[in-house]
Amino acid sequence: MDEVTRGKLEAIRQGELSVVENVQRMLERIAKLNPKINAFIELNPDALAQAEAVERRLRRGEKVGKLAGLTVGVKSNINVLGLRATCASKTLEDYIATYDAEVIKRVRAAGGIIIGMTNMDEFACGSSGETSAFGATDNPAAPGHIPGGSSSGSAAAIAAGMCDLCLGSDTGGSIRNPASHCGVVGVKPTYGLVPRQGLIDLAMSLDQIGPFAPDVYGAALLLEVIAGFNPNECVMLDAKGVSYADELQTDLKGMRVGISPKFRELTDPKIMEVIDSAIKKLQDLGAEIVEVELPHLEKGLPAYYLIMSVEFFSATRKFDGRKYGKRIEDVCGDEVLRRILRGRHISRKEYRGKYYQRALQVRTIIREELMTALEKVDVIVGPTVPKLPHKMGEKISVSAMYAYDYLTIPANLAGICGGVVKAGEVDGIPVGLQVQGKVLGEEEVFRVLRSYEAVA
Amino acid sequence: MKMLIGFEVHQQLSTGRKMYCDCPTNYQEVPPNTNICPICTGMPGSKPLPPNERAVDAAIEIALMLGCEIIADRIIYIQRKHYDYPDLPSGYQRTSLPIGLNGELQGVRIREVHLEEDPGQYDPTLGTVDFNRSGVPLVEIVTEPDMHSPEEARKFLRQLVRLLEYSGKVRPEAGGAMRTDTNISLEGGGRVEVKNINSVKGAYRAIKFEIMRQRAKLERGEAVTRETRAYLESQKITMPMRLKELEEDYRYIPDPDIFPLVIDQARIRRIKASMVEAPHLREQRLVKQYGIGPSVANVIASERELANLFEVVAREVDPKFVATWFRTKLKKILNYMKLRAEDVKFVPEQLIDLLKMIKSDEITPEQGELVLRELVKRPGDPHELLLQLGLVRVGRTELQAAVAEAIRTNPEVVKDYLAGKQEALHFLVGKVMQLTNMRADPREIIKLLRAELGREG
Amino acid sequence: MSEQRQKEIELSAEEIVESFVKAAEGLPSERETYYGHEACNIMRPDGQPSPDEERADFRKQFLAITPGVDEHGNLRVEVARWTR
Repeated sequence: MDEVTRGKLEAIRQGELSVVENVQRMLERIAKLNPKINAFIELNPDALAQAEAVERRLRRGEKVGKLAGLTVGVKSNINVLGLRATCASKTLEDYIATYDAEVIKRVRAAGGIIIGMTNMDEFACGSSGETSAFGATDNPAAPGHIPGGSSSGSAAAIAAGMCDLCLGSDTGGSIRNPASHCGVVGVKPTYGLVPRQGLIDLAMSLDQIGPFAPDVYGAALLLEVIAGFNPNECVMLDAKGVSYADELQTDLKGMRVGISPKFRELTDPKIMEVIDSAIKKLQDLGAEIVEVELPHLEKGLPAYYLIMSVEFFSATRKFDGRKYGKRIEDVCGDEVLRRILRGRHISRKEYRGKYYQRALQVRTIIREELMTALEKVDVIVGPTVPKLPHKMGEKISVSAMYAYDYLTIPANLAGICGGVVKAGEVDGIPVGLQVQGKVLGEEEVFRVLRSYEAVA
Repeated sequence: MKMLIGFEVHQQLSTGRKMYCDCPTNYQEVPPNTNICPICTGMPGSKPLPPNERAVDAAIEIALMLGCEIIADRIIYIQRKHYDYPDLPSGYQRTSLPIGLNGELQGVRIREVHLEEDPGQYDPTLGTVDFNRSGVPLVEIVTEPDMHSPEEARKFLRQLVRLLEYSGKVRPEAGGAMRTDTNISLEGGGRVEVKNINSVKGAYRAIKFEIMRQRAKLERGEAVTRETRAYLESQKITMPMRLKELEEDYRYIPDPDIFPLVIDQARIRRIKASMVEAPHLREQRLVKQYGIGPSVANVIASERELANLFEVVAREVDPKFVATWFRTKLKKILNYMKLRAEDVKFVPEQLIDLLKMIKSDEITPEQGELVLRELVKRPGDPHELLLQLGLVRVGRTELQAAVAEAIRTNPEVVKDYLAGKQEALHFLVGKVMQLTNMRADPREIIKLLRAELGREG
Repeated sequence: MSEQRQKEIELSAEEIVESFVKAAEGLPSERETYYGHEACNIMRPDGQPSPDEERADFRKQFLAITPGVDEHGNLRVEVARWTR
């Protein structure tokens, strides 16, 4: 899948592929594959009209954006005016978005064509794609296995070639986890780099919107389109004019790449084998491999589940059924309810210090550990998910489900960035290499992802 | 019976935009659900804009005017206060940690001042909601329970209203009437909080009702339990609010979508530099600086613009004289015409000229009052107003003729006067005033009448 | 929702809370990290409100998705119980 996005953009610009044709082909592919994969839960009825508009501009030689003619799938927790933003929940099954999220405005301005809304775990609460009220999503790269979550539909759509690029969101791994299971590229940006205006909350202090693509170039391109300061938002980094796609390098000379023994402790040895050989390749590309200490990494997981639950409880209070949709507690699934009840419980006045604030202290510890490690190295590499995806429909316990998130949560707690590229396979199931970078260290992350992609 | 009364007062701040979005704040002037956007209606995925700086500064200024210590150089979180109510679009209200602490106004301690956002307007009887008001910035002022009678409580609220109006930072009374939650407890009973009070008068009535209700219970030997009640304006009574309609635990968390505030010394200095003097302090200063009585100072300080006008005029004319005129004449005329000092159109110089004319006996106080009334209605040079009103004093001859005329045409009254009835003289003075179109000095008329009648007698 | 289901979910919600308490044992007390990155005093100046047309468009969308509206454009919700 190396460089398919660059190739397609080139074909569109040269007139070898018309924008309308591109959209039509995608729609045909969705029609054919979606009944089995269930990656999309709604299609944009205006996609072809929008394609024609972009096409006209191209033919007239007018200035078109960086995404001109590419089809973009959007996770169902991002508002696209006129389409349903359901969060794959009965709560919002009839909610038609009343405005465009800031990232959607940017995608449109760049000539991207919103092709539809992708499936997801209900309210992004899940790591398997199975909690959607619209049914589970299959893994196109390992049929019969879960695609991971919560951005299950976005990752699966890319893996199945149903669209060119996708938007997802990542609160504790919801982009990186399904990217790993589906063998595609996914990036969770630094917290505050991408506007969240219009993203329906899971946990406000952890959520970030990020790109999915079949290749690193596509992810870099989509990220540079959606990233950057938005004055209409309070909690943002003051980052302007970011650019990644044109700066992609394919060597790692002079780069310090961190690894941690902690990863091996937490991860399935079969997965570690694939990761070890990937790290070897990075070394061959000129990277200096440095061991870093992350002694409390695994304690991030329970801390995360407390913090997230409190924020999610708060975020869902607006779903009271009075203004739109249905009252969330009346119609939501088990995992959503579980998080609401947990958040409600541990934010009680008498428990706040013991649970919520204590979890925020552990967050400080994890954050400082990662920051210290990232002073010694440019990036930290390792596995994305500690175990292989289970078979669809297989019952696993709540704690086994949460255990998928051990390795992705720390980046969210620390607010740093992280990207995933396919490292290899175990028994025919993709395994992703996770590259975590500093705050606003996306350029270094892309450099490692692209260098690996070029030789893999 | 000993009683304790305290308030939580909410007042809307005067801004062009709402606290966390760009919708306008003139919510009473538009149809329901017009000043709304995804942010102030709690649409899925909407995030607050950064807080409105003007509102933040206004709250700091009001805290300073109330003599609070400002929480400086420390993190002030904007918190989410969770509760379920139809007027709250997101299921929580954003409320800041205290901006100021430990103030004082006229003997009542101010516990804290902080920022809030207004919810929408819920009509509990009709079951309808209008979000036009949702997100309008509010300042909340919390007092200690330092008031001990309904009258004292009312007096405090009036003082507070005056202070807030003085600040110029709140929405005018006509629009954002003051809303207060009031807590009332009698000795031996639990603390009762009364919500849904929308005016000073309402607060007074609610407190009176509560005292009556609580006292009757205690006298019957029943317990007054700690509870929250709603004041029903239409019936002037309070009603218990059901437990379900109150959330016992607000589960406060810092709003993850809003960075906290840190008020630094530079900001405090800047606000102090342009801050208006609090009315209660100004009242005290007026007494000291101009040597006027406390009650007249209270009248003058009742409105900021009235006090401003006073201080300009008192620079040019004897302050005590000016003060008397402000209290007995100007304020009376303004009240009669339902005007506030800020609506007055004449320039201070015109008032200065007029008061000088009166003070120097160029015109009589009665004429002066007529000119003043005219000045308020149609501003102009007082000399010209005097002419236009035909108030230039009559000459000696004309006045004597008028006196003679009054005596000639009222022989019965003259007889009464000569028989010792003083009121008869006043009647004759009035007649002469009528005949001269009010252009004579009554004191001079009396002199002339006495001389004239004495001669006859 | 059945009480049984609520009970089970509540119980399973607490597992992770218990394992957190265990995980945090012996960890030092730190300040709390509330935000993904830290800053303060991000404010916006007051100024002209948003254009009327923009809000008129939104009003239409808003009223279209609400469960109930009266003839004036008020949202219809429940009547408060304390009003009798």
